Amino acid sequence: MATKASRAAARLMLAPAVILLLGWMLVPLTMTVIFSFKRYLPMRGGDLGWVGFENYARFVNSSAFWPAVQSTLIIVGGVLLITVVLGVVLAILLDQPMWGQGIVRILVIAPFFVMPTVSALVWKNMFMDPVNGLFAHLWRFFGATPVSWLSEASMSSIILIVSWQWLPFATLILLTAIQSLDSEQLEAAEMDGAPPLSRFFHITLPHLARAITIVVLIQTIFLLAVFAEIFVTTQGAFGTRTLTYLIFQRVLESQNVGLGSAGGVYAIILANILALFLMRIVGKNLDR
Amino acid sequence: MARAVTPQRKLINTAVAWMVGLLIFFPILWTILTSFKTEATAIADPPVWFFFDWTLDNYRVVQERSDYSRFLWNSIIIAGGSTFLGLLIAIPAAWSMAFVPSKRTKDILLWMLSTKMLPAVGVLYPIYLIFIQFGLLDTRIGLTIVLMFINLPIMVWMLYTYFKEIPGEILEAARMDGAGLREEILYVLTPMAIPGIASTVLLNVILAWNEAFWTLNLTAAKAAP
Amino acid sequence: MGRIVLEQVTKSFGDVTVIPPLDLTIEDGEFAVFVGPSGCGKSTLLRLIAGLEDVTSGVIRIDGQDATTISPAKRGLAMVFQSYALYPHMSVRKNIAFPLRMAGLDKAEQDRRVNQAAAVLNLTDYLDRRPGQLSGGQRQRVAIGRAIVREPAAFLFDEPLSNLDAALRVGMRLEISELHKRLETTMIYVTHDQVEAMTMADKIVVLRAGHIEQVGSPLDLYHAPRNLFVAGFIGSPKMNLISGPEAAKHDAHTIGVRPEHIAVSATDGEWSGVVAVSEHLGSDTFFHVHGTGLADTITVRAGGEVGFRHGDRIHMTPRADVIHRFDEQGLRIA
Repeated sequence: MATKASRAAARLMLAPAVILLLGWMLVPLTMTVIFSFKRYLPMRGGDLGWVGFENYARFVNSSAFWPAVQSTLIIVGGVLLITVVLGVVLAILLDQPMWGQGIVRILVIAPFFVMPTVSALVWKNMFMDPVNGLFAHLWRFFGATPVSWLSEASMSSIILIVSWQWLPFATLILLTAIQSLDSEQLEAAEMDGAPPLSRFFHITLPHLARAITIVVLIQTIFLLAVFAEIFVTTQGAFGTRTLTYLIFQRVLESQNVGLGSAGGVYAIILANILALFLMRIVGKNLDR
Repeated sequence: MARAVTPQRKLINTAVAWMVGLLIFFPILWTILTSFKTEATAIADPPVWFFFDWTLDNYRVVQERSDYSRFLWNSIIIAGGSTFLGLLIAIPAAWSMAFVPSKRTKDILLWMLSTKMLPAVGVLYPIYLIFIQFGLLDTRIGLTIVLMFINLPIMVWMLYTYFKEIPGEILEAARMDGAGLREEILYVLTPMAIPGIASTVLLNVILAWNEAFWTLNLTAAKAAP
Repeated sequence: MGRIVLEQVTKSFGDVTVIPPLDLTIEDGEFAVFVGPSGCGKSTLLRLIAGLEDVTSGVIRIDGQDATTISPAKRGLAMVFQSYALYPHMSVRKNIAFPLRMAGLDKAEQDRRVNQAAAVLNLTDYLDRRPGQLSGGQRQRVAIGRAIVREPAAFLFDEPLSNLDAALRVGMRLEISELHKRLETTMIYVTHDQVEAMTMADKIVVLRAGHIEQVGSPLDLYHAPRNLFVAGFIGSPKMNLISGPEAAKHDAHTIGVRPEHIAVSATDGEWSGVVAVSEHLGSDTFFHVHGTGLADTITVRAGGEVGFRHGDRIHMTPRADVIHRFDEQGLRIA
């Protein structure tokens, strides 16, 4: 199905998406790169001329930089690990025959429909609050001293909140993949005498590889930009300042656009390094 | 895996699954319960489960204090609007890539996806400036456009995967039957892809609904969701 | 009216030439079958005629008009696809009416033509079902129904029977032949099955690697294959091809003898060998004979029941008047 006419039509129909996305990407990106070489303080004098790589040097050398990179990677890695492992387990569980399967699936998927800001607020005020939170009640019930979660175990708390939000997504994608698994394959393996655990590792898991790739790819994209949860819970304090949050602070709170833009360029580089890895894998799996 | 299982096995499955399901759902359930409590019951120690004086006061207060329903309405318009705009652009693009593939199709697709990788903070200030320039700051239109852009690559990608599963012969048949490009997409492709389009729309509405970064940074009061 | 003429038509995908320059004329009302092994370009040729692919060069004329650059929708042809390509979201009625709807006919006229086609194809009871609820044969009929309501200049069939089981295939073959007799419209039919070609065609076009090897009526091809390829392709079981000293006796590089043109005997004959497999069909018996010194296997077809078994020695005599002779290039010696 490829006549000159249809190819021309295809180009015409693809054009809006390509042009718009190109503009969406290039225009702001160029501006960011330009700002990053300038001393630019909108509230204190505006554009103060070119400064070369000074912003870049300052951003890296600031004491907040490496901890921010570290927090970003820990949050992304932690949430990915939790959601993928639990997602596989949940997907298998939800695929088993049971009563009320539909309702259970809805219960599990529900958190995905809650806005991040709302979910962060709920967790912060109703569960993790050291005085009135449900966890505090639980701790006191067992005679322990309530933990002030968001300051003492800030990272784990944020990873917990974000994982809770993304687990439904992982489960949903993996469940769809499991449902497409040919049961004859499993039965053949059973006939061949493979015990359940090795059936899982040799048949189910490889079958899920593509779905797991998709989950990892999409979640990484979104997790790198985790913002609302931190904004609402810790405001970047207690070691939870991610790169995204750090740049946000530089640009909007301290109104240092030049410095923030340099940070933005770093964030873009970090994202692209991760993206490169992921794209390779996805590109390979895409044609299947 | 539609194999017969013993009732005991099914019972265990059911029990475990419901426990896990309720555990995951619990924060939402708790929020809903709490929303019907008075402030005193809400922070009572030990916590009260179901037996309290159910009240709608909280809902009234929220509505009075901040015109909550308008924010809700904003959210719906923005999420729906950005999805609709996105579909208008994404369906033709996905059609092109799925049915008239060229050597560059895969590259274009990966490139589109890679624009998602661009961290929002990297381009926050320029967008902010552009918005001021065009008077889009704190407007529903502005936010709709931004969210449309943000989710466009995911939409194109999802639709592409769904479209690819539709046999090209059916579209060729439509062409032989005298359908032009518009009729082909409108009467044949779209109805066949309804399930795919529906899940794309659903995911996109959720993503738009959940988008906090741009929403917090580009709005203040009027368009806030 | 549907006289289709291809003049010097070529098609290449990138650097790969699928169809080298090709000329072909299909007369109005003719049932033409394109036959050849898979990858011979027969489907591509059909798609060029349909307009689903562009020709790289050359001219396609439909009824004397240059149709080379006309879009498929406007060529006035109808096509039946291998996968039937029914619209799964529409009822049978809507499927059949779709081309009429696209042509902008009014509702009453649409209904009239759909009902007429349904009656012809025994689909009246199924008009409100979805394609998914139909059997393979019924789907095939719907696809044909969708094609005939348009009253096209010509029908194009792209291996329409290959997804059906054997019994159904024979039935549909007859129905399509009958349809052609009744409508007297040009039909172009692509298949890799030489039995379909032989039974249905007025004119067979044998293709290999985009080249036309021979064009002719089924019996022309059977009696006078122009070269070794056609000789081996047409006829079932395949013609025995023998080269070497035996062929030299007939002043040829290779000789061909059809299995049905060999007489068998338990005692004497020109050739002899050992039966490897004997297939008893009741009406006929096929013997696959090894160790003749002529070719790996000689296939013989004997009428009725003949009692040779595996391992028996068999003697064979070819009918001298129907031996096909070919030269070194594989071309027929007249």
